[in-house]
Amino acid sequence: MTTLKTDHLNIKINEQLILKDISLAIRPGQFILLVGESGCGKSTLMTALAGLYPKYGGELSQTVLLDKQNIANIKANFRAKKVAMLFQHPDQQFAMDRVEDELIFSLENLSLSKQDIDIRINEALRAVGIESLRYSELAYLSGGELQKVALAETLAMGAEIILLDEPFAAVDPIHRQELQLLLKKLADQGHGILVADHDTSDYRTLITDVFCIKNKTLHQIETHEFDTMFNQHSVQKLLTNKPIEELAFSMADVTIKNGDMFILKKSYFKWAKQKVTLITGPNGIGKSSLLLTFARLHVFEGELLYQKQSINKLSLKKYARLVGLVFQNAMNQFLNINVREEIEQAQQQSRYPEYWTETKVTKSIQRLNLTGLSEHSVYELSGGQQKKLQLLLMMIISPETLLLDEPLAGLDKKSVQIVMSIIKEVINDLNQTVIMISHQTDGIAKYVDYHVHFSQNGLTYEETIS
Amino acid sequence: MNETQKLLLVLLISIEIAFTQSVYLNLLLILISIIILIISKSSIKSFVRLILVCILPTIGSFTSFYFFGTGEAVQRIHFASVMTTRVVAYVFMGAAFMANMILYKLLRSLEQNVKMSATFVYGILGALNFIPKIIKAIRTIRAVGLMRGEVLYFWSPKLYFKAITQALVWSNNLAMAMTSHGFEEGERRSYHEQFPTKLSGWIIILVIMLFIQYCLFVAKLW
Repeated sequence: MTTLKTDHLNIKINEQLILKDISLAIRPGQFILLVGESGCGKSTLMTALAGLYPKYGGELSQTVLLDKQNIANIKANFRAKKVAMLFQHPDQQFAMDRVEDELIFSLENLSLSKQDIDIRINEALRAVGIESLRYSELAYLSGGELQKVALAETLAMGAEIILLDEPFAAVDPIHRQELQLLLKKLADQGHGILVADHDTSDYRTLITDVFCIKNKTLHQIETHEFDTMFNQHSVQKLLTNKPIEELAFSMADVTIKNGDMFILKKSYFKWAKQKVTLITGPNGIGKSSLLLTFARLHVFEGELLYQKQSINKLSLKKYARLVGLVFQNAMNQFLNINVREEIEQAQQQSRYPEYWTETKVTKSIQRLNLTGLSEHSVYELSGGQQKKLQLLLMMIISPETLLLDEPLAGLDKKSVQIVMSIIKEVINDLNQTVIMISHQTDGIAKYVDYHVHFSQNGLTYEETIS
Repeated sequence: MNETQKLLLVLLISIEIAFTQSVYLNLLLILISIIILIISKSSIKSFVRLILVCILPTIGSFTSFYFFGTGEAVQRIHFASVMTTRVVAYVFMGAAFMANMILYKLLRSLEQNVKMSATFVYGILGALNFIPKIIKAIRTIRAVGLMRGEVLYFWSPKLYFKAITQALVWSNNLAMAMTSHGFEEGERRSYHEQFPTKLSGWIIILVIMLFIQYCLFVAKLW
């Protein structure tokens, strides 16, 4: 049975100490949850454990041992049979363009025969429940579906130890629970699982250990401390639920497609102005495509009005200043190299420079815990820090309507509350409209005015968030 | 015929016509390529595109060899025609080859038949899969620019700088993921689908090449 182990490990990236004195062992049957604030070094630790440093940048003071062998010295095709990693960005982990070809690629790396490859692909797709995606093109899959493909690939390779870096950031609650149970099953079958997740909900009964990274070091959390740790899902009722008065968007006979698949068919729907509307719904249903349509980055048929004017009749340049999109992938939002340049650009282009004063900006940076990063490259920031910076930039730009695609993905509980309260405060001050997609809904009902559920049957207003 | 053999045949013919001066053979090759393109159901649009591609080089080579060449007028006409039809033959043969091969199969069959390195094969496949992403990224960057009050024209350096930075980040992430999925340079890999060279393919190559030699050196179709 395989064990992955390290003792008193320090990790440096670009001469900067990221983690110190890390001791951790992952054994078969363990299901370990790794928590910590965004930017604390969870991804770095995972990458080190996966044996990808020093090849891909990091500097290690100690070796990571896979059954007494230095994992960094094991050839990738042997290592992959023992340890595999699921990455944070689901769209950047595949070499091929189709699901089946991707799985074939990884299994050919292990020098398996055609028969073995076919058997393993069938089993892995079944285990994850995505047989229907076998011949799909990866470019058309949603974030959650991509993570399932990545997990199937890991299972197909037979990795005994699986490291998952924020695997559920873009996964809806139902699929998230399914995958969590699947991981538990894998642990019971003898796999060792380490999952980094900012959202602790539903893990409590599944995991065997919890570790937390704080002040660059790793602590184990004792069982009696669990109560304060774990989120509990509960049905939340919206505070306000008045009928919609003024409209931001209104859709008449709108049809949206993604590739050949219909997302909305001849839909009629109204979106409230100067309110916060939350959109929830399963993965791949087309939530992101809907926001892209609002931002005029996705084609549609029918009539879509923005404040009573057909959106295609407005000049693109003007429209882009009225309706701003916060992309699901934060990297899309950046135009410059370092954090300071980004913030300065946003201040120069803000629609409300008198509101976004130097003090207000500095205070927001502090609240979002982004202080001291001003000279850092935006590409070096952690996933969570990128999300917060991206949101801050668009808040400073202050379009009339903000479309937020998963603004809370990868954020810890505390950051979620801070981010939501900043959004609420600013949009009240500046009379802005917010339409946001989020899988993470814990504790955000108090900031939301309307909740739209997106399902196979289209869009519907609901009074509760569950 | 497998993809490697197709490539080999096209290369052999190309080399042969590069060193011989037969207008008729070139015309014959163009005709056959057009027939292949029609059989493989190429669209009118792609024909138009091919003809457009041909216009400049054909006019260029014909005028330069006819007006600025040496020798008698008859010789110059012959040589200019050879050069012109050669260019068109290259374009149409290339198109006929492309229309009948699947890049994935070609690269995999080169990997298996001529031991092309897997790093190269997957490097190219990875890069090709990136192309639609890069196009999308450029569109997104321009949209983001507008949302942030900056108009980025297609000549703006910022646009390309951003696109290149993103491509660098992606390629690093992809390389890490490939390593994590067991890809190691220079290691042995198995093949899920075999692309063996076929005897029938070798016979076709032999027959076609013999026929060309016959046209050139026995029938003297110059």
